[in-house]
Amino acid sequence: MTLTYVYCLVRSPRTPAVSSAPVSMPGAKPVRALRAGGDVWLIVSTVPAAQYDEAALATGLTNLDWVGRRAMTHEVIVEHFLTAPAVLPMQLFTLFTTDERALEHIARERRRVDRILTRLERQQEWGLRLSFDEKGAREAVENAHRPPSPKGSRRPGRAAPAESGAAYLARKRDLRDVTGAQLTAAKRAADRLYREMSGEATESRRRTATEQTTPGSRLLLDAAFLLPRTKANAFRNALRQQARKLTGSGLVVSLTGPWPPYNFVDGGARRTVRKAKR
Amino acid sequence: MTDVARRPRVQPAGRSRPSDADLVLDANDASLLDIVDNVLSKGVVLSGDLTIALAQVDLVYARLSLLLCAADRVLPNENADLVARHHDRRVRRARVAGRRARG
Repeated sequence: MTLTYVYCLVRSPRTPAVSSAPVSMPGAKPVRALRAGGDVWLIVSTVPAAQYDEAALATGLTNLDWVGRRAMTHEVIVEHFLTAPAVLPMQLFTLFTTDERALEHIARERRRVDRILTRLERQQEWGLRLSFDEKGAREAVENAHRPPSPKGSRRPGRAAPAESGAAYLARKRDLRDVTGAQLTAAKRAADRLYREMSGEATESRRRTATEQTTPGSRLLLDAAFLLPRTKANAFRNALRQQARKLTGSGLVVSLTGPWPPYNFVDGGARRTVRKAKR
Repeated sequence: MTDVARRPRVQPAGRSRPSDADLVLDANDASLLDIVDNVLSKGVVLSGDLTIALAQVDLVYARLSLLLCAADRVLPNENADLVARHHDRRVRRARVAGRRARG
């Protein structure tokens, strides 16, 4: 028995280039394009039910290596179609019993799908993270308090000079400030950065759930931005300018992308809430 | 599950560890965990005939979130070459896109 695995939906005037697509899911037949009417295509693979039914998924999902390999394959195939006018990525393990069932499903949801495809046309997603390098900031304080030692003055076997009481207290105070005042300032900087960069994007989402998953998390900003393909360079330049203002604050900015628009497929209509458990 | 946390960290060559206020704009170091996070937990367009039980997604995702927030991210070794190939593909695509934008 087989199942139909759906990677993504593509809007394209021509048949999507499936022959050059990367290797399909483990155990699957090569990637195919199913016409769903008009210029919309389903990118699918036939997979053996024994490897992708509920029981197989239940076992597989407990193994991060197993999930990782399939997640990567799914991603690589979705990315292959990113050059099409619009791509709607599916969630990992979107499976139908047959091609017909998948097509029926699309036909039923067609108006909503068309609306999302139009919204995403020629747009890309970029991921922006801002994290506070607490260890780095602490080290900076420790270094600032270390008594200057001229080269070669330390003889082997000789202990470092004892720290005075006042110096000890000053060092402790500064270390506490690292986690207090500096962190507060860093959080403000994260809010500001998100605001500024949102102004450069078509849409933006901030994922406070991952920011707060771990207590004491130093991930201050986890955001996704949707922007036209043609504006990628402008966005990077704007980010570079913003990041310059953060120099010396112990903050690390990272930008990843372009991604398929994972964070923007919901169309504002139906939102699936899948938050991590605390 | 194997012990992911103790496996070596995989980093694309030629990129040093970010320091203070370092801006990482290479956009090539998307980790496997970012990818799993994206494909597993984001908005659902179609729910298939077989919908993954929510509890199981939560299970994978909860563990993942912890890893995502860890200061030093690690990848399962088995998938290191997949990540490397993905990285190469991205670089190639960026180069082609750059040529198109200029030409």
